[in-house]
Amino acid sequence: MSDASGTFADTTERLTEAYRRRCTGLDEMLGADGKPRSAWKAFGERLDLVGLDEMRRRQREIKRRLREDGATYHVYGNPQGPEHPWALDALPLLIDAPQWHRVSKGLEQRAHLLGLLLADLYGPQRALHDGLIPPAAVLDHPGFLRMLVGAPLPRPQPLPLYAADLARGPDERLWLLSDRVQAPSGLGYALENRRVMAETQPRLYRDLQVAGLGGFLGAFEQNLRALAGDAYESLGLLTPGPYNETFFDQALLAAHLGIPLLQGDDLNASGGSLRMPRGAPLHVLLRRLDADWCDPLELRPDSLLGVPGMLELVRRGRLTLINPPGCGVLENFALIPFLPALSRTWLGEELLLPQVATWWCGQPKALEHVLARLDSLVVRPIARQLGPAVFPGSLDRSARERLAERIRAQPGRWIGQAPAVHSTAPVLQDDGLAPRAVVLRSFAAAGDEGYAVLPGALVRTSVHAGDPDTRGRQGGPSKDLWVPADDTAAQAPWLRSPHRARATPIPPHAADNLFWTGRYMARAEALGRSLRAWSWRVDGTDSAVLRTRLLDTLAVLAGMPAVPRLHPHAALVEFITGSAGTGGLSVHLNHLETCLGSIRERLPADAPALNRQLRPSTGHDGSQALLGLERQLTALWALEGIFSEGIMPHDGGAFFACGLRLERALSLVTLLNHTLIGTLPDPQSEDALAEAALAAVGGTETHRRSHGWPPEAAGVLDLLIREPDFARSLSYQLEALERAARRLPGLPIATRIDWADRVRAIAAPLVAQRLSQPDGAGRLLQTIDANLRALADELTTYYFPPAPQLRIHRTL
Amino acid sequence: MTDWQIIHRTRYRYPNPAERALHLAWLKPREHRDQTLRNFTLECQPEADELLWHTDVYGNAYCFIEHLAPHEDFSVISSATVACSEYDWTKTAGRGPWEQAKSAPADVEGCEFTLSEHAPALLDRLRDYALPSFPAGRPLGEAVLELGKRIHQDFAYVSGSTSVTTPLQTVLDNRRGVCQDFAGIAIGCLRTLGLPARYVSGYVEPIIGGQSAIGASHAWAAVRDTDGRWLDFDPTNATVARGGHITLAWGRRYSDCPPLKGIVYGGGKAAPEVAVEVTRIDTV
Repeated sequence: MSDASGTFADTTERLTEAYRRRCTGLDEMLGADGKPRSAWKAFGERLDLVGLDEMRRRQREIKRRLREDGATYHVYGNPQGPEHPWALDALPLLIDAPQWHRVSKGLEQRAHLLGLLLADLYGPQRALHDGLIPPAAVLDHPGFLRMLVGAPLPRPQPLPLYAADLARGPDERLWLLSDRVQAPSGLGYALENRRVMAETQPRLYRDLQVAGLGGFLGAFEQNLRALAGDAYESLGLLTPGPYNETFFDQALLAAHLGIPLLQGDDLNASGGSLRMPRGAPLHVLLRRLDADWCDPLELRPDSLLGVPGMLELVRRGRLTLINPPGCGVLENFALIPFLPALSRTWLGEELLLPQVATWWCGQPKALEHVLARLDSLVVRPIARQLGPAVFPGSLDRSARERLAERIRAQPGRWIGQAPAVHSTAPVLQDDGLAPRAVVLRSFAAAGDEGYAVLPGALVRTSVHAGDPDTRGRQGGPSKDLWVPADDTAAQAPWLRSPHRARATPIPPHAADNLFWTGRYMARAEALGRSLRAWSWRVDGTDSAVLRTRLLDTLAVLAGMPAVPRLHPHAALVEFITGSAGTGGLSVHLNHLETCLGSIRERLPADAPALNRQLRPSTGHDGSQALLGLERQLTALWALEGIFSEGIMPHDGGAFFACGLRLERALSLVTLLNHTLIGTLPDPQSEDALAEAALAAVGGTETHRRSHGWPPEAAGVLDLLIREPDFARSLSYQLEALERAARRLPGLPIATRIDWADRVRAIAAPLVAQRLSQPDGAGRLLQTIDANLRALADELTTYYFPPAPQLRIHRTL
Repeated sequence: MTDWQIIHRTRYRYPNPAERALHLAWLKPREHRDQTLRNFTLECQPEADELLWHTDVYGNAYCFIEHLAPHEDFSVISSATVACSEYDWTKTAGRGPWEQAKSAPADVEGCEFTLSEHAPALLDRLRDYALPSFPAGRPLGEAVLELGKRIHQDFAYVSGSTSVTTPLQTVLDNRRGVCQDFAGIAIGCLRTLGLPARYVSGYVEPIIGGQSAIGASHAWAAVRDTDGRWLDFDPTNATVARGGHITLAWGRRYSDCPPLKGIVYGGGKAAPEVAVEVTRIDTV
């Protein structure tokens, strides 16, 4: 809190006052009388006290934190790149305790009822036979997976995780908009929002006595553990991969729960269990992959994201998926009109959460009703995968006719709904607070007895006040929901899971990405250093021979087929900015970023913040590119240090170290091969090249002190290849590689020793031979290069088997 | 009753070793009122590492087969002895007006077999094709058999002209296909009229010059009568399905009960070699 002034500033209008004038309808902060609601009273006063400037400062701090955490939302087809920064508004949404209590009860009831329905639909189907739900509303829904009828469901609750979208209706109550059970997203974002809010506004958070999220997460985690038979190491989170729009959400949840993030081809379903290569069986997978994509043997045959044979394991009770595949049938707008009667019959209770009035067109009367009022309704297919909602009122006459035609052709696939009313809440903008429509997503987690409801929610806002569209791709910033705590003990924003020491194998994808993180880091560094050391030599030297040699070397380090046919200075810039399809520093760094993005949940805490420093300076003119080099190199070194210290070898650090050392060795060999080895033009150039090689490796000062100055080719070769105490020498890289290979996790000891011994054998000639002759050194380097590449291939095939070639034979 | 001996072999010879393979097989003849299974064996070469039997949502037995070791030559061989009655439903069933056999909204089984996966435009074409056989009040059996005959006349049986993924639209456009396509047309037609119809996978007795010969996998259709009984008919042969039609399994469509499907890791391109022998065992 700012304590700059105890009174309202007279010159600026109070924030809440200005907001009142902008509000036109139902609002979260202001009641119908224009005064702050009870939950907002204290907050509103503070807001006025703090003022716009301070709130904007906090907003900037929030933005910075989110950026440092690498919080993103992927947007497909976005020309600015697929990653969209996650946005969080500095103002929380407040709801009073009695109201949230009622909502919680409603969510619990709904989760329970839908769980009962799920078990019934995949079992006796009494709801259908008793006439409580028309059969077509279920049987024609694409989420109903017949091959799972009779398959075991999680216990005690068939739906371990339930999520719902809520919005406030005109009667001031919170209404249910839709049920999310297939693979609900948002829990990770909600955790991130809470952490950032509590850390950037600690006094506000404390003073408002906000309920923490730890209790909910504890219940969720306990249920996961119970489902896994207390074997926590047999849990995992199945992700569609780093290109999925909510990958950050998934990575954060996996990191929080301390379970591995797995892609389909990290896993095999064989011999009656699901495993990572060389791993123990996994019993429970938190699934963020829609069921359709889970098993190409029985579901979508074109899916490469799932695991063939997974459903068979589910049927046999060897694997529990959360939520169970097939629950997608509950994300079904056609069910809405029938749930009140189902609740009365099965639970003997009225539904506690009001639902938006809905008509299923599969019933003739409802169809008639919908077609007669098309203009004033929202119309949508019963399942989201069948298409988006349509607002017939916004269509012209002929489009509306065509829509009516489509509905008449397959009435059972459509519903009509009264348009939902959304309340607004204040969102911070440059000129003050603006009202924006809000939708809340909250969660319920199963426990031994019923459900625990998250005392909070991921709140999404619209871009305009009147526009109800709050979806991630089109919407405005997110918000954190604050509910008053029952007791102060539960206020910690969210608790980290208790630590469990255990050896979980590293999933192949993660291992691969760690290995390549090391390789791209070293590759980018070698090129970056050389560019920095040589730019003035290339630009300024009179010797065409020297210039050609250096440019050729840079082209190889950049991964380019040839030196661009440009003026030397322009060629240098090209090596940095790169171009599509060829190479260059920015291409190496892009690859590095992709690797880092894919192992988000394993990154050491400081890594994401540095990530952004790797990006090129904006404006690609030459001087900018060369100036940005310094910053990019600094970020690379810092990142390398953070990785080396932040990840233990057995936890994947050994993969990183292997990649880094291997690539450093290879880059150094490349550099030497193109500068000092082979026929040298003349003694003068030879010495100039020796000096250039030294500078590129960062050994100028070392050589000066230990070998004298000016350098000679033989001495430079000796230092760069053989000197065991020089941290940039080939010999040093190989020794480090040997150490890392000895620590590779998940290998039989014999294999580990075998690999480490092979590295030692590769390095052996360095100790034995004195390298006075460039020719001899050339042959030696060639052998080492070939041996290292063979080793890298072997490591890759052993650890990171290529994705299995799925071949589907459908026989008649 | 007539006893039938069936031997069904499917073989893949892979150019490269298949590292691992998972298969699902609907190869066990199911029992029903007119069919009894006397004995059955299913054998894999190489021997399966896992072979588990399940019952699907329609009551068909199917098995999950897993091979964990590399192999280049893969076969599934099933052999069965089945007793079938020569019952002909045309004499006793399907005599009421076809409209009475339509599925009611609350009828779960009726709904399951009336819902259609086809796009509205295709449904219209199927309805137009079906309607001439279904004037108001016509007995169901008569209408269905005539529909089967018309399909038999209008569509050319061209072996290999379609695959399991050929859309029904294409079959309707080209007017040619194989048994499963004709079954698909018949089922599609019946469903657009609101009649529950199902796909039946099985074998048919091959008669060449009055003698048993090499038989084949076959597919036909069935419609549900007013009393809930299913009436099988074979549009490929323009006949009632009885006696020589041996049922393996049924479902809404081909993909609910394919004789064999699988996923193979590695292996390379290989075409299935399928041989089916259906032999009448004369009962005394």
